[in-house]
Amino acid sequence: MTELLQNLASGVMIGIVYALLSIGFSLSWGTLGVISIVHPAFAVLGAYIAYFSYHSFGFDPIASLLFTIPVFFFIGVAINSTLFNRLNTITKHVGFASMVVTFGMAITLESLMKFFFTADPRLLRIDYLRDLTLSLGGVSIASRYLVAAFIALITLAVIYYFLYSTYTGKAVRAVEQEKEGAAFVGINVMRVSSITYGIALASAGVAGLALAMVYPFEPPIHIPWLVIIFLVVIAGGVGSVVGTILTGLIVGLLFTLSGMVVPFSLVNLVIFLALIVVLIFRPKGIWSV
Amino acid sequence: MSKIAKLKKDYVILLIIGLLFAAFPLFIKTTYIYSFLIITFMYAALTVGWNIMGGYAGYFSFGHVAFVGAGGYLSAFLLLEYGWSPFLTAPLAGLLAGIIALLVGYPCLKLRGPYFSVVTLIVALAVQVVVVNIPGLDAPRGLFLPSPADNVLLSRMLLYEGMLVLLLISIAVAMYIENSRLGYGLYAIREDEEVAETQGVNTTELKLIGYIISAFLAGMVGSVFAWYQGFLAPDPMFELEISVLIVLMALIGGTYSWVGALGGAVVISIVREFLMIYVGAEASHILFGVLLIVAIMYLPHGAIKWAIDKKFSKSPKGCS
Repeated sequence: MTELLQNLASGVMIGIVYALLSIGFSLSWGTLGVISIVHPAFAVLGAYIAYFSYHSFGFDPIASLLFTIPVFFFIGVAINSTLFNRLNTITKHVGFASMVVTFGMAITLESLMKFFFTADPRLLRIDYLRDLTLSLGGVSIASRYLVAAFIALITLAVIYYFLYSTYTGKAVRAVEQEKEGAAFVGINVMRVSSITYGIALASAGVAGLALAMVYPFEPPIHIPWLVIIFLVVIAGGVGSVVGTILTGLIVGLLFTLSGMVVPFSLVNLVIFLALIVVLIFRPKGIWSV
Repeated sequence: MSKIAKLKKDYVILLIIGLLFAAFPLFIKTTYIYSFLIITFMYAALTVGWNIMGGYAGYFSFGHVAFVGAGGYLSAFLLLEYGWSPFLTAPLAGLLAGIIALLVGYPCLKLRGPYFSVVTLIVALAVQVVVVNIPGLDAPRGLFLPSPADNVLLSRMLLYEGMLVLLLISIAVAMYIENSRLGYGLYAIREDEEVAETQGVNTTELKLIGYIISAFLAGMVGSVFAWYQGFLAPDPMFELEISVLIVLMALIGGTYSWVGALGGAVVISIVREFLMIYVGAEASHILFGVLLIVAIMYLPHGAIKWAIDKKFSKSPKGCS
């Protein structure tokens, strides 16, 4: 019983982090039509920035976000206004073409990270969180899980607030729903796309920090993270914020709970099976009506 | 000249060119050349096979490597357990890949556009997880395969001949499909699937057949590729990059006919080899990623197609 509660708790925590990892991917697919394979690779880069700012320079890893968020935002804006913008003018298969382009980016980024940071696995171990655990009725949760989930939750809340309560955010959702219509009522689609992709990459950077606290990471880990993103986004419905958050929680729980029943190496298989079931029965996402 | 007669003539030309290549081992005695040609032929065969679904039908699969890996592991297993030569078990490997394609294709081929690409990518990762976890195979530790001959040069030559045969088979199949009802149906699906359906084209069946043929060819290639590797590990056999390379080769060469796919595969293989030799493995990886980006940005309809005019293009102007 305790074990079950324990796994439920950590599943929820990890699920929130997965939701944050996937939200940017979902937004850029929904709004720009771009399937950004490079998304988790930027999360890995964010994890490395947090790792080195702590272990090499002695800054608080959370403070590294002051660097990661603006820099990733501008990288996103730059990528969108050069590469994706051109992609839109040369082909109508933007989704597919962007997969190839962003895969090229992912290969490049992974190789660069291997080159500069080596392929050794790393884990962000923050000293002041090491021995802290929260105990609640026999269930104890390591504080690094709590902090990671808390960071993810705040970021998700900010993104939600932006999309639903600010003028620009509403424009993003308008472009997602109907690109031509949005342009017709005077929304600068190009600018909105750039902001969306900037936010997507910045959120990937934050997710990288959160994941680095919980799991060890190395440059090639962006592929397993990509699988999680695919599962969350496809099952949650492309472009849906609430769907992504809910599905992120489900996937997190699926990970920890299936780990109780099957050996660890087969947990991934459970994830794939879940995705295939979703695709057959709810190809537009589980929350679609 | 009728279509059948032209196809026969094309087959004769293909056979003659094939025989010329098959005679290489009589004159060239360098191991390196064969290693390069085996990989080039492998990508060429895979790209020509991929193009059956990706090019003719416009269903861009991102998980073609699943079939290579599954076929390769089956052949490797049969070689280790029973001592059967992968050259003979290649059709069995193809069959396994075809069965996987049937199982996967049925739900996946209902998906359109980028959804299909994303899901095939996931399927490739899933097949890898399944193979790695098969009890008794011990895939994660790696499998050592005995080489085809004691002499390194001789075994390379044998594998070269094997891969050449597979490439010729792939081209012959692609040629046949381009002139068959199946091919016309697939072209119709690429142009407009709804319209094709209303015109009485059984799209579900044609897509499934096309996908299975495409997978069968990849499975056969996988068995020879596995033997070429000698040491079999899940990483190179299921390398995601193979899937993406195939897509890139087809895009660079143009996807309307097998000629473009073949040309793209040869060009990219040569470029990769040059990068490997002159800038080293790590830097070539980075450069290759950049090349991928530049290629798709500036060559959206394929370079080969431009170079040899519209002679091989089956599609009316303006379609993409």
